[in-house]
Amino acid sequence: MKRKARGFTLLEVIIALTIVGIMAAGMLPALASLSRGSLNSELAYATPFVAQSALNDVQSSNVYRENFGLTHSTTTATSSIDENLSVVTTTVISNAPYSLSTITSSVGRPNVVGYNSPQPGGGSGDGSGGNNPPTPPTPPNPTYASASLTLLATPLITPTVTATAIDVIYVANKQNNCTNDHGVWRDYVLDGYDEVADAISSTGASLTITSSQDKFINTTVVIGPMSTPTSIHVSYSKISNSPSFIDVEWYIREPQSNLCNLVSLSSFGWNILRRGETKDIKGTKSIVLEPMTGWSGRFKPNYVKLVFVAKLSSKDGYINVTIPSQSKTTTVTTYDPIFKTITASPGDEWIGWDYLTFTVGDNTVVTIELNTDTSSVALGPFEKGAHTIPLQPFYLHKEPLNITLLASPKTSTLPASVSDVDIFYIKVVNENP
Amino acid sequence: MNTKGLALVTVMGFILILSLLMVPLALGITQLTSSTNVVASKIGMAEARNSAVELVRYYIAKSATACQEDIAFPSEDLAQGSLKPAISCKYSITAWQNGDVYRYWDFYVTYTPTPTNAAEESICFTGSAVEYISPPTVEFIPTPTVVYITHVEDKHVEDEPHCPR
Repeated sequence: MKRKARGFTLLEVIIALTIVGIMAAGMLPALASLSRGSLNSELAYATPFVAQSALNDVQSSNVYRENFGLTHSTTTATSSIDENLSVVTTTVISNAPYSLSTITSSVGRPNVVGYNSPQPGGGSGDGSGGNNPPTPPTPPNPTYASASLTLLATPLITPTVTATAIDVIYVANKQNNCTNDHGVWRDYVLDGYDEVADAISSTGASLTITSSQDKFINTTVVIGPMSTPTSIHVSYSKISNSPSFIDVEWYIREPQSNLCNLVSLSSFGWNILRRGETKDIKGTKSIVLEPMTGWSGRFKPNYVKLVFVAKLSSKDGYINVTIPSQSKTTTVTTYDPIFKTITASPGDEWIGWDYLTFTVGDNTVVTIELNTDTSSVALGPFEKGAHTIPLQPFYLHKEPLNITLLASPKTSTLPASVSDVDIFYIKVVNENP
Repeated sequence: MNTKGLALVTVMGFILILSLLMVPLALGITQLTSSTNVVASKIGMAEARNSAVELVRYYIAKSATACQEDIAFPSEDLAQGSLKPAISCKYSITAWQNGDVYRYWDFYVTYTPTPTNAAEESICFTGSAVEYISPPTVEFIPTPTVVYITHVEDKHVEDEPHCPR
């Protein structure tokens, strides 16, 4: 038998709805808590963004402030490091206070469009940022002017040094004090020939190399030191008609402390200055070995080595070398380098060093060193003329500036000079108008 | 057929279904709370990076004339952490004809989050900068040094030996 399906009775439905209602009422606090948690999470999520917007003075929505009371305060403090650094801190009052800081530097900024937008808190902008008090009106910009200090009124001239030197001293082989006679001051007369006949005799200012018979002469004479270029006269004579020749080699060398070592080097390292003629000789002739260009100026030969190679076919031949008397003296005046340190002190109105001017004289090379307590700069070399050195690129701080000038003569026999040393700086004319 | 308790079972079924529907909502709120910390951390680091650039700009502009390597500076405190900078001049060019000077720098700034953000690790902001020192102007107005930050990147402090500890 089919039984007709029966639905819920009204009583059952009411009971079920009542139970649902009771349970739903129990969930209401949970739902409310969920709603508060959602709002808190939303606020917590938004807090950093609000802080960052306030920190950078970006105009953000006021929804959080007006509807949820999310307020912020921004403070700008000068860094303990320097007044050119400022620390901006924004604190947002939310469920828990949240603070965010940033640092701004007022130096080293590129001048680009938009870079000078208002600073957080209206510190350096137009005063429209946040709830901060308006920025006081900017005072008129101070004006600057150039001023100068004369650092060197009288020219700086290199000092002179005067010395008296014996012009020429000559010594010949076998007339020396060197102990190693085999290695130094060698007798260049070849083996197998009459060494005695090759001996060099000196009379006054002359050296004479004589030959008593047909023979081959190969001998050396060293003359020095010389303080000035000196001509050396070489003459020879041969009476017989047999073939003869003479070759005079002339060497020079810079001075050395040990004359023995100088000669022991033989011809190694000696510069051939002039080579004499090699030819048959007849009668009496003479040659003047005149100083060459290298003898003047800074380079002095100091020592001259003469190598004589000759064949004199008769005993009456001779080679005569005449040099000035060793008693001749010369007064030599030279100029040493000079340096001078000048201190420039910045005054109260000083803003920055501008540039340095000076004039370098003839025959002068100048280097300059700038020193403060915290920095050092080396400049140069500078030669003849008026010079201007910009100082601003060095960012010299407000400290006494020591300027050391080193003037050196290019040629030691001529003076060097520096004059008209002035330093220019920038000063404020109306700092507080 | 015994239908006793059918309504009760049905109601409980409804309640179960409603509860399951609310799970994603609760989880969403929980996720939002945790991501809030990440947002705060990232924003704090972004401002720290901006501050590091400004610190580097300041120290380069105020550096001495001589090109000097490995110059360390004291820490600067922020609300979200501290910054410890170091700069190193690598190369200098002087154009004497017009007085221009260019110096090339590397910089390293270690950002250490505050204890409230202790879960975060220190970050080293490192990069390069070019300093341009311009010649004096005709009007005698001081021309400041300009520092161009050409490159910035974040590194682990352990990966960059030049980063200040």
